[in-house]
Amino acid sequence: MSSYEERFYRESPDLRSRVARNLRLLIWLVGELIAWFWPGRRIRRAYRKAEQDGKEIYLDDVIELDQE
Amino acid sequence: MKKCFPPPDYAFDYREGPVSGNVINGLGEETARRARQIFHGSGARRLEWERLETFFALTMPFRIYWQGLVNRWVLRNADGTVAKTTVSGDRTEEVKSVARAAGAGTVGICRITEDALFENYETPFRYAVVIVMPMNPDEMQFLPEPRAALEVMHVYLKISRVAIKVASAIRAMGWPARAYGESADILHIPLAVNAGLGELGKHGSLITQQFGSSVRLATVLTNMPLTVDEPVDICVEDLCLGCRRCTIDCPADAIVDDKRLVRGVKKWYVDFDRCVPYFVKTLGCGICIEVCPWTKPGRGPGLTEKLLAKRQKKALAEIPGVRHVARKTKTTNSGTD
Repeated sequence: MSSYEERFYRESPDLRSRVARNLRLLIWLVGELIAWFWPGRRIRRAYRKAEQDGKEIYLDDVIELDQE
Repeated sequence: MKKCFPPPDYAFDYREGPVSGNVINGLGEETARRARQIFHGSGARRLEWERLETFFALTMPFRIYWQGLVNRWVLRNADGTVAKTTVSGDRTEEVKSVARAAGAGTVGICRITEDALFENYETPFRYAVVIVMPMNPDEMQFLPEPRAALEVMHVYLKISRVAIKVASAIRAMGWPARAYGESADILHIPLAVNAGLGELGKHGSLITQQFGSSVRLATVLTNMPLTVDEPVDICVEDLCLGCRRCTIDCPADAIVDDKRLVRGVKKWYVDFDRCVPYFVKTLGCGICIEVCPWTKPGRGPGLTEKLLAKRQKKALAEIPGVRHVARKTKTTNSGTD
């Protein structure tokens, strides 16, 4: 697992690797964007409902972490 | 009067809770060691509190979440090609001017120290140019509502751009440099303190003289030889020891009145396990930095002056001879009158 710095912010001098890096970052960002809509939407709904009902949602149930 | 903030009750929990953030932070540890990331990670490693962080991100209103993504995209220019010709001579003022012209509130420079690096992280750089950017008080007054959170993200984006400009200017002078914004591989606050930009406050955040605590930080690391700034004493300690504003106003009771031993150093410490759930519930909280007396616009310099005078008066009173002379003078004067 590498940091944003290692993955996206270190620039190689040649144009080709910069374009490849930008593409990788763009794909990652699109993934994050999709995550806000799904499963984000499901989580926000469950959270709102829990708040209204005075109950709790369990993070272990609603959020799955990527495998390393 | 104490403002009315949302109560610290939560509609989220863990079935199997993570390891206490206070344990990971080294609360009570006598041996010095580097910090470990728990929350707001740079993506470098699996964090113990990562589920809560993901929950925090996904429950954000879209316009705030979007700002975070834009920031990540902008920061792709954090590094870049270094010019082949190296300029010589001390360019410290030039570097600071670039930062100020780009919109920085204040800038300071220091050497990189161990306490600014997370465990298992090494850097090839020696110097840090730390940039401070104030947040808009008119927007921050809405805290802890989404409007204030949006201002925080705006400032993160703006400060990333400033750091990128500074790093780019240094590289154009022939020296490697890399910009670091939010959720970075380094700790900005210890660097800011060493660079003379302010002091650590009771609420665990930086207190600057000019903008108080209502600021965001970014850093540029470089190998360019620069003149370093000295840490400052603006009397934060004098006030924090007696002031209880953040302690009282923190709805989660995360701020304590005395210093704690953390990784071998006695310092102000915020209870992580109490602070972060409330931070998540309120989309970034920040109550402690806004209620801090230093944060009131224009108040800082006067506050330092007052506290310094008080300190000097106290120091004089503690010297037996001086006290005697002062009393004697008073007596003589009243006698003459």
